[in-house]
Amino acid sequence: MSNEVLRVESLTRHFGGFSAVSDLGFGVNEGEIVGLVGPNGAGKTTTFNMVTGFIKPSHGRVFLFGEEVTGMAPHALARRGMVRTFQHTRVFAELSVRDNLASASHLVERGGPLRTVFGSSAAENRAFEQRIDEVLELVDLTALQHSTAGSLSYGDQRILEIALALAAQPKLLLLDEPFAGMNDTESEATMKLIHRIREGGVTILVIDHHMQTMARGCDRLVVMDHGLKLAEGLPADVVNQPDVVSAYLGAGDEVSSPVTVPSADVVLSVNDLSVQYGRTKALRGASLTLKQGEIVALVGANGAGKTTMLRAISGLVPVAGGNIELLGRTVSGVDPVARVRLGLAHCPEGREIFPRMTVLENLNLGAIGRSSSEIDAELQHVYEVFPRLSERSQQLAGSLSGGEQQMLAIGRAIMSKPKVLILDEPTLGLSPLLAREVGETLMRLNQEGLSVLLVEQNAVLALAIAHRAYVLENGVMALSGPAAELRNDEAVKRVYLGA
Amino acid sequence: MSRPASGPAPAATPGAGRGRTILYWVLGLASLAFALVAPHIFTGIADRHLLVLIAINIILVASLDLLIGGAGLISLGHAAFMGVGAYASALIVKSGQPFIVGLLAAVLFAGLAGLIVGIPALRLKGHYFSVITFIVGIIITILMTNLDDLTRGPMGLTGIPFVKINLFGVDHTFRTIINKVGYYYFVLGFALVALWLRWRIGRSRFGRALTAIKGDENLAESVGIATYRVKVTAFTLAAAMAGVAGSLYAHYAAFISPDSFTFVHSFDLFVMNLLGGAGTFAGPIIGPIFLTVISTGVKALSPALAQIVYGLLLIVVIVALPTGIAGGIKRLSATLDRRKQRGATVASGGQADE
Repeated sequence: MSNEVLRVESLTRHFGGFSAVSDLGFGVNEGEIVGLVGPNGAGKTTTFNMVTGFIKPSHGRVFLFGEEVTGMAPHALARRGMVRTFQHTRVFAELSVRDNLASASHLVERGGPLRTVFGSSAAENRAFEQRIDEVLELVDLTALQHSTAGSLSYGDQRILEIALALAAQPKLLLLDEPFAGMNDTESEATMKLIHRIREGGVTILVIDHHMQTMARGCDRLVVMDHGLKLAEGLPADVVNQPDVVSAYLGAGDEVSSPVTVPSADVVLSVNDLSVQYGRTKALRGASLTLKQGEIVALVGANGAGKTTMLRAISGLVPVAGGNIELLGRTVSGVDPVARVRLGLAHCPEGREIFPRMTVLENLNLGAIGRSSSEIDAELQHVYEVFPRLSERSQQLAGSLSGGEQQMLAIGRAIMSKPKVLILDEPTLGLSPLLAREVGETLMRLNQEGLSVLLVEQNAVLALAIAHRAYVLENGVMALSGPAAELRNDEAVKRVYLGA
Repeated sequence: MSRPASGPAPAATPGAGRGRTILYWVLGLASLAFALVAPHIFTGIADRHLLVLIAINIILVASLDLLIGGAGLISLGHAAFMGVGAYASALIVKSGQPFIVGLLAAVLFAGLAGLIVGIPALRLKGHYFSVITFIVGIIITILMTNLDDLTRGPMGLTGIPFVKINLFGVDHTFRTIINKVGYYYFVLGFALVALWLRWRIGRSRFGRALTAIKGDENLAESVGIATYRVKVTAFTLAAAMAGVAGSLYAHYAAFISPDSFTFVHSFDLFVMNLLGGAGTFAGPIIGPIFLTVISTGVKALSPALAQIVYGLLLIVVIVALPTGIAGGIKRLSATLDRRKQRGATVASGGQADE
């Protein structure tokens, strides 16, 4: 095909024993906007990194304009017309917006020793400044051109990042989660910008998990899950395929419902909580309660504010308004360590284990400050819940599989003998089987009397094991109620799929 | 499609920019005038010696700033490249060649050393790169000591000829032991060229590529900057410029030994760069002057105290002036500007009310 801009063939990447991407193949035609979608940990960014030369594929080939470019350095690929953006915003924070674009215009500026020493001609300088003006206008950042990039709002920084890629005058633009952390209006505006860029003759491949925005704005979708291509086709066809739906909502039907009956005592209550990052409001007056012996699920799309909620509860982010009561005490202003002493344990997203320490050392860290007899007792308890950790106690934590690492993270959290356990996406990147195992473990700990607040992408699993649930949407509690009822609620489906 | 300017006010209005440019020119010309009359104000032989050393250090810091201020590459072995240039120039001129051949040899060999070191060292990032440059600096001085057939080892090279140039048909030799003034002007000329070159590079495509690398190497790479090649080029260029300083030093002191180019001197250059202000035009001027004056002054009081003051100075700079003296002044004037602007807005608002 002559108008095929990008083609990847049987692209594969292993990390240790784990396949982040397996045997992936797809193509992008000239003038198209193709979306690469899939839940967290599906392998989208790994695919991007392989295509753009930031990591080398284990197998497979990448063709750009019909020529094989597998393994080429990113700058060489940029020179051939393929430029990318990054998932975590990258701009030159210290420079003004205009200087950012000047630095990014490397490929279209002429250089050489003579120009370095004596400067470029006036005509060349004019053309250079004019190109910067054009990019500024296209992305609508002209008014902010003299501001320092680091001082821009998050949304403007994301737009600037796209502008930096445009300054390199790409023929194929790859956007890595341009909508991450944006609200609906901002996402919509960004999608419009992407369409304006396409009108300028640029082909676009975009990855994101915002199924809603992607389905509306892309010509074609490629859906990934667990490193595999799940579906490919027109957005309207793809979103209704059952395996796509289950990849997004998770498969957790096999997990039984909770058997415990929570008491009426409230162990954690969050009232009217607001949290701000710079100018971005992550939480706007959100409230929730957790009772003794209860499992509560907090679900919602990416960027809804779930992680922020947990971080505020454990005191890791400053609170702008509202208050938090933990086991009958107001803890606003109490430092995180003191909250742990009160009986709170936080199991963070991404596990955050210490890979160069042994399993045992990692576990011991969870019980710092306690007597050795208490530690021994807790260790016995953790080994009982997770027999696998006992077998591997002397192994380096970094050598564990993803599921085992997750068990270690939970094990470490319960080493402090908490009364309240809060978990952030414990099934992230785990296979359905392992995810179910994690769910069953949480139910077992709950039966032993632990109160659990669970943040999960896998809504079906979370709603299966929880007593009650809250749905968070753009920093506001959109919905709450018994988990069994929410499981069948159309609103939950809408939050995740926009269907 | 447009929207109101939100967020922070533009860094400087065009009017303020022009005033700033005039101020910079006035300051620059005043500094140049001072540099020209300095040897006639400070007439003692020791003072004039310091003036020559300051001028040589300006060349070194201007070249080091290409790495530290330009690309964010903390190189801790810069004096070694100066040493390579010094030995190359001294040996060539001692063998009977004219000074200009020695100077070119200094550029060539120091640049080559930079290239050879840069190719592997720049594969590493951050602290690892700094540690490697520090170690390579030590290795180069060890080579100077041990290749004694060539360098006469720790005894050093003596009797290095003075610079002989042909000025308007008249041969002139800078006999720096008796008269340092002429040679001071000679070195000052090189220092001005070095500063000009550093300034030009900062405003070029190459300089913008360095800025991008300093800001975010992955982002720089993704917009098409061949980061590794750009870094190796900068490292080679900086080493070659240090070679010039080495040549000028060798023919000034007439004696060099490995002790002249140790990591202590490399570290001094690093501190001068930080103290003056990395990535600023005035930094490479302020740093050498300030550190030379301070350390000479303190050493005159008490040699033991010198080390302590030096250490304290370093801590103060890192904590209070992360962008050095020049950067601190810049920031201060920007703050005053903003305050003035705010004052102006309030004043004009008041008038509108009347």
